Amino acid sequence: MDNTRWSIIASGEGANRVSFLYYCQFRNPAIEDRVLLLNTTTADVRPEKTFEYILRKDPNLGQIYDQIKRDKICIFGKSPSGAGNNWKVGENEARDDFDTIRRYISNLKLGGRDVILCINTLGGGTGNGSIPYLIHELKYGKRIVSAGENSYMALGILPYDFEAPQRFFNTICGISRLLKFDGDAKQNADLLLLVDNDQVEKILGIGGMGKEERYYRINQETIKAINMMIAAGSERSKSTIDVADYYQLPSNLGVYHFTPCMSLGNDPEIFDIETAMEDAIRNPMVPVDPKTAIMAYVIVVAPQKYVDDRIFSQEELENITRDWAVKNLAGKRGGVLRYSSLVSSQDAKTLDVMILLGGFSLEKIISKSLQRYYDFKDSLKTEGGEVELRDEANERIRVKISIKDIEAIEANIKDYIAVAEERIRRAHREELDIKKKLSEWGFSRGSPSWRQ
Amino acid sequence: MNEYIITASFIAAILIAGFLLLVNFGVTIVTYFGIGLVAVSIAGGVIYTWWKTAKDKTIEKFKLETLSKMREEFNKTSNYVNEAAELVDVKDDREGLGALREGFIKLGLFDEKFESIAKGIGKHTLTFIEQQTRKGEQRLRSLETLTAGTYKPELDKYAQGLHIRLMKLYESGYPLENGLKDFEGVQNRIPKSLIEMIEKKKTISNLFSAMLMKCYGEAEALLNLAGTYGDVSRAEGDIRMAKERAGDIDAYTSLLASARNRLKEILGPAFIKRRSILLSALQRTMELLGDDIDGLKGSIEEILSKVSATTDPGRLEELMELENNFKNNLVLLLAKLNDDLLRVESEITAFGPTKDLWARDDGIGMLLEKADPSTEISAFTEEAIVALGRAVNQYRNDIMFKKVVENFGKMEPIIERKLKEHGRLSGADLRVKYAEKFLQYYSTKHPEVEFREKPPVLLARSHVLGRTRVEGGP
Repeated sequence: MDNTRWSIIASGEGANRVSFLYYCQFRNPAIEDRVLLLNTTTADVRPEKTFEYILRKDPNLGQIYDQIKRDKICIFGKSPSGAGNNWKVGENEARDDFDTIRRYISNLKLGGRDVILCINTLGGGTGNGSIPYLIHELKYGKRIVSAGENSYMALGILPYDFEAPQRFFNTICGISRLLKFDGDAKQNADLLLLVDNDQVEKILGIGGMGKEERYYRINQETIKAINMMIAAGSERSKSTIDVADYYQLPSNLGVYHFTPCMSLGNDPEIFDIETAMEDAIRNPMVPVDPKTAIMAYVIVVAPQKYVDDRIFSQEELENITRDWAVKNLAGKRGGVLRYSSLVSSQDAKTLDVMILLGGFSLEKIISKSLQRYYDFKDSLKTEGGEVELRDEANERIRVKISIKDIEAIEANIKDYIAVAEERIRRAHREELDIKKKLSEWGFSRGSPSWRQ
Repeated sequence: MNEYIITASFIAAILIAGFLLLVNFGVTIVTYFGIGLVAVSIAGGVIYTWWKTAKDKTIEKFKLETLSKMREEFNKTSNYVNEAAELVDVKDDREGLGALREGFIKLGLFDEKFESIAKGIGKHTLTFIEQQTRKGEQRLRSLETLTAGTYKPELDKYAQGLHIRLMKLYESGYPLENGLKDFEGVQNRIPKSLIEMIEKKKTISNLFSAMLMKCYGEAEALLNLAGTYGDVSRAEGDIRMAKERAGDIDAYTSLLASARNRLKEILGPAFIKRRSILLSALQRTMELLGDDIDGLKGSIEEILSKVSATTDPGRLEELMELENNFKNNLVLLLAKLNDDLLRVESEITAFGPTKDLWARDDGIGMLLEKADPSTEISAFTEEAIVALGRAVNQYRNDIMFKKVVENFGKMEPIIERKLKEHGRLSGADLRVKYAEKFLQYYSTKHPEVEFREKPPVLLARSHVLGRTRVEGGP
């Protein structure tokens, strides 16, 4: 069986950093060199600006940057100074320059069933505006890039708590548009991974460090999650979690948001998988109550020797996952969907565990943004059924958006939340009266199940 | 170019002269002129060739070279035949060589003693000389082939004989492994000509002589060593006789073998005792090191395998060298272990563990210093093994505790959560290696919990109090 090929399309400064770091640190055979960095201003993709800190930390990466800047960095749109934290500008620029972007995407030479991981920061303008539009356009538009059935996974990075209200307006709009795009309300990304800068910073305990170093560490944690997610589909996996496993059933359930929970660098001499999973669940990359999660993908990467010696095994992992899910996920039966995959690695020296927690209540995330969302939205001046979004730092960046569109965005996310909350409620529902159900299915009182 | 012009001019002059004679004197005169011209040309050609050959020195040089080469070949074959005479009867071959030499002398190609080329070779043409030397060479090759045919089986017998003697020496314990390997390599080579056979004989003779010398040297050295362990007069006698009968290979090798066997008997008890002490020390060291201690374990393992393979009492000196190696390596290993201990302990100290949880063994440093490699093996081993045992135990304990403190950051919230859920937590509940130590370490960081050793369990103080109240209630 051929391994699934992955590509990364990152739009906006923050996402560019994440992708560049990934490209430099993990030369993953599943991705090879299929990475595309999009931005609306050349200033954002000059190494001395966007990648300055990364390149300063490791000057050797300058060579990699030189290699990719010719054919892997696409500057789109006509704005001379980016999207100015204005997602609508980002979207419009991507729409106007779609042909340019499409040419770059064609250069990635995507295959029919390739996965495209689209990365953007949710508080910004360029990525947050362009990525939801691009996913929709590539997935449903007629100007297709490849004739196959690509899957589109999105990674959205939530802003820091201290950031301005406009960023949280962008965040709510961004999450909504990644989940369902505008008026047609169709599912947009096949899967949405959420990562919160604040939360990751808290997990890593790096609050006291300088800003650049904190960003760097958070990005590193994020790329490790991406790498583990891809690892589960590799040939080193004892039970492959295929791309379709990641998104098909969640899409059918109508709930397809996830967040990674990671426990990395565990000494395999000390920790067993169960303890590492207990540690991982304490570290979700967004604020979440795990007891509301209805899905979990458990990916364990262990040193080859320990797998060969059967200290860790797929069977054991599945048993542990079952017990763990009952204890940690929504309801008494451990949610509704779970997969587990043990990946052996010759290079790994530690026991690394990632749990992709899915379908959890978005309440904690939304509540974090909602006040500032309304603060910003209510401050907008309505004129002729439209509001004008402008960049206070740059008067030239301004764009109008209709109230109807904002309402559609709100309606989409509310619909999604309603489905998610319903799924959680159902998972928490009491067990069926099995004897009654058996009777309804035509089994008589004398059958063995009755006697149990 | 000049030759062509001269020839063309000459022909033109003849034609002009013929034409003039025809015009002035008629056909008859021209006919006489033509016949005369042909006769003059033939005579001129012959005279010119003779003159040219007589003048050319190259031919003479060729003659001399050919004959010199012939004599050289003859002498070479003659030498080989003489060397072959050491193993086979070469009377016929010598007669054949004599006849060939006489033949050359009779033909006047060499002087009577066959020492130099005859002066009158000018009368012989080069072709004649070449024919004669070719015949001579063929004769030499055939004589060589005939000699080789009789020489080869004798050479094989000779090599076999030497090999048997070497094996006798080897079996008596002389260290001839490498020499024998070289010897057998040459012995198994199949020579294709008499020359190669002669070379093979020379090589195996040289190798054999070198090994005999080595054995003699070894016997003398062993004699000196054994002198302190018993009466070596008989072995000494054997060695002296061997020297006296150096020309008799059989006697020489037998005497050397006998000397060594006698010396082995004298050295035997001391060797066995020493080897047994060393083996035991090595095995105890290996057992203490186990599989988890790296460093110089490899060198101890190597020494152990060498000592196990050293079973010949004649190798007592080698055993003593291995003993010294062991002592030096063990001292190095102890020093490295001490460095590792200090490093790990400083890492642990950074976590500030309480003394009841972890303490360094301050006595180890002193114990390690007491292991002095200049002392006798038994005393050294006792000191070193005690030090090693203490150091290894402490090292294992330190490594374990280091893992506990390093991983505590991850374990702490897990313990906290489980305690909150159940009020008590046993090692088995924790499902990690060194669970007991984790619980104990947790209790030192959290005064609100209590650690009970038997069975190891962590109790929230409220839980303890609650239960006490129940147990002590009315």
